Amino acid sequence: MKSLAIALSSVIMVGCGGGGGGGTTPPIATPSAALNSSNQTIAAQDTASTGYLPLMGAQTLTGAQTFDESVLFNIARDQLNKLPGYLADAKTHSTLTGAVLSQTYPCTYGGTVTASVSDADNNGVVSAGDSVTITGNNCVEQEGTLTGSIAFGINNVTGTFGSTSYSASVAMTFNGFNVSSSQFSANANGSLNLSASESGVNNISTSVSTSSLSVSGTYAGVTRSRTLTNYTATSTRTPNSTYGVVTSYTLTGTLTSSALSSQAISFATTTPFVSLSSDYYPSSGVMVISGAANSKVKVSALSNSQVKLELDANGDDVYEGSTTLGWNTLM
Amino acid sequence: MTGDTIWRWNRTRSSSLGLLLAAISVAAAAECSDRLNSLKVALVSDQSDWSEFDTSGRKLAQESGKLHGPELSIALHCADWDFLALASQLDGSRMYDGQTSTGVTIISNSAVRQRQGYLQASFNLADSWRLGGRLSSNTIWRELASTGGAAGYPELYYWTTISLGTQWETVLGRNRFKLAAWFGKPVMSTMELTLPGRDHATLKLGSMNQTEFAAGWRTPIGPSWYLEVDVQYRRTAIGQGEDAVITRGGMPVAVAHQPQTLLVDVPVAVRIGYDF
Repeated sequence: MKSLAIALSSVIMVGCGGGGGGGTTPPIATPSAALNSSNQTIAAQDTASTGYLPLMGAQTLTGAQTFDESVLFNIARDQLNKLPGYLADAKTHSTLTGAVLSQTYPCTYGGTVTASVSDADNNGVVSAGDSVTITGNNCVEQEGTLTGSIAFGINNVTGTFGSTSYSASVAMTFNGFNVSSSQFSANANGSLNLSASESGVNNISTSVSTSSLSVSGTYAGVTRSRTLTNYTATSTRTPNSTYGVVTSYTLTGTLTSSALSSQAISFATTTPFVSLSSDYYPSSGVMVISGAANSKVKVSALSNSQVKLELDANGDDVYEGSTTLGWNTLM
Repeated sequence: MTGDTIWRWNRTRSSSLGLLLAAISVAAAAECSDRLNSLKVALVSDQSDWSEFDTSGRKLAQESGKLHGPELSIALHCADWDFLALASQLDGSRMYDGQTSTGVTIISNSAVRQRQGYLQASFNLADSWRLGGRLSSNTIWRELASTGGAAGYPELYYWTTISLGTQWETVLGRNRFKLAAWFGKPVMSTMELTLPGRDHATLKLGSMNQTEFAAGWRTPIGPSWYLEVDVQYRRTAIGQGEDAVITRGGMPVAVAHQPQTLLVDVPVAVRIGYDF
């Protein structure tokens, strides 16, 4: 579990640019957005920030406390980390193999969550075939009030889940999962497939994918919504003699965003993004965002602080303009 | 300091200067037989501790470090009244031991610039006792440094407080020793921040209380010249602020608030003063 959460968090960088592997951008759904000088930055920002979301969200240091749709994934990650506890609790309260046991747990500021556990082999640990559904019953946490549910299905586990040497695959499904407070609400619907393998703290491979995941947030009455389709992100962290650790990311998928008038763009890394040591932003890597009529924005990491956006608005495969930004203006 | 914040610093500097000019004006206008003016210059070393807590009281972040800088003040004694105008600027850094927005513990540091200016008037109640009021302007610029996997960002805090205080002073030979206590409430308070990839935002801070205890010792070092050493303990407690909508390109994308915050300063000031 730990490596799943950590690795998935790392994969997020893919959102900035993402990752390797790719080379060709996937076909985009219609209607697609024409990329131009007026929306290139928005497209890059939205792709970066949305790519982050399934990977548990971009992180900032806590000074001011900030809440956005990423809280959905922060909570999902917390629940993922609690799966061993839910399974262990179920074991102590049930002896019927395959039975679903529901237990209620109090939330920090009121309300409860219900964990419905099906321990396929009744062994009390996370293993293939197990499933856990977490339902919020007006559960009030720091982020807001939780309603709806998240379902976790364990596809396979090798080794001890949560140790520093294991591999696992988990299907996560959001069913009207909502977090709300007086100033905002965030909602997720759809599924994510998470897989990770870890052999030591600096040898981690992770993959996150979805056929469709929709996330929306309402702030001061204004709603923004984003949908990822055919999305895959990967992260590979390896030891490095110079930097201690190097992490590379790949990203591919299609994004439909209200910031782009609910039109779609596709994205794919043509050169993996690579972060050195514990750098927050990648130092190298290229991602291409594609829109209508072959219009494109190329996002290239120049360093761990700067990124270049190049625009091909007329789709002739020639980038006619470029601008250099700080990574922190994108994400 | 980013260009975006320079004008705000200028605004703050103007406010502090305004307080100082107001004090000088009061002093200059006063007429009394025992009038005594004093100009003081000090070096200040401040042990600064900053803590943030969530609504359940759980600590989110702790910062600790030293700030250093100059302080300039002018005082006027006139009959039973004392007036004081003071301005200081302290710079330094604090070690940050906190967490990311996803709850991962992390170590970083924050660059800090703290400016304070105040105008103070006190009245002689009895031989050793004075009662006074103070109008303070405080500005804190804090920039959290990005570190492994988490982005930092700049914050600017600004608050104005009105305080009531009392002072006890005694003469020991050629020296003077004083103790003082002040209690302040805010007139206004705001916080400005620019989160990575987000528009600049202004947040309201929560309720605030400021308590200050001070001890000072003064000894003459020549005709009209004296040395003064002050130690203060200043505790500023700020309640959780209101949620504010954060935008990107004008579109709402998040909400944010400043959590409960406790700032404890222990400044030590070594002053050289001149009476005229």
